[in-house]
Amino acid sequence: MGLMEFFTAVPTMPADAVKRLLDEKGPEHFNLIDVRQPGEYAEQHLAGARLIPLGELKDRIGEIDPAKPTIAY
Amino acid sequence: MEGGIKAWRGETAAGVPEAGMAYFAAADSLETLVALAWGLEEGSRLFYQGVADRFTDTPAAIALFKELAGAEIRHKQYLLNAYRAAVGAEPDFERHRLRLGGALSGEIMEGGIPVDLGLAWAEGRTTSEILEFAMSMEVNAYDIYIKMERRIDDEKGKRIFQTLANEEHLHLRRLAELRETTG
Repeated sequence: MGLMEFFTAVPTMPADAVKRLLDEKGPEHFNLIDVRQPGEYAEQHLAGARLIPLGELKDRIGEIDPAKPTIAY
Repeated sequence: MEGGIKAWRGETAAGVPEAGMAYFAAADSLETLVALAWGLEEGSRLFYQGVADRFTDTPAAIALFKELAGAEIRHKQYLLNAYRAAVGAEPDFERHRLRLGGALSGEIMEGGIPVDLGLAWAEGRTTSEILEFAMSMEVNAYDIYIKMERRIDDEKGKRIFQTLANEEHLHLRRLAELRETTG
């Protein structure tokens, strides 16, 4: 057993695959979470995305529906 | 989503070193986890000190990175003190050298990213980009300590990792606040 057994990559998805998924199934079937800062969200965000900045994620985890897949950016 | 909003807009996103989420085998001992945590704290200290010294000229960012480097030193000392208090003996990190390798010498920072890779990435980046990267590192640190806490049955051992998880969350908030004011 080596060091890297302690770390495993988080699954990621290319932007075009996310677009296809949202188009096919509709954003209501996902937790689409914008984890950037409020100023960045105000400037531009994906349609239907909910703003939960990284620093607030711990306290607002209850806002994420565990029954739906979550896409974060 | 790979590349975030920039990739969505069709822009090329800067490749941030890929962080990994941590997982642990059920058989991990408190000493193994404390040894790994100690090494990751040292790795993060080296990263913060490196970016403060070389890769940003924003005074507020330099001050925060230096403060965080200092916090990582305190975390290392806390780990040693808390282990002694919990077990009643000195930890023997060298017993875990074969498994943890360079992580025991601070070659890996929180998130499982080699320090030299993180510093090489930071060269030429904006302060905002470095702050974002540091935030992702702190999220991973938070994640790793939550998982360590779950892996340990002993209450004193659990408190070690709860304390560190709370500290990393505070670091995350500090970085986020500065990121919000750094264009």
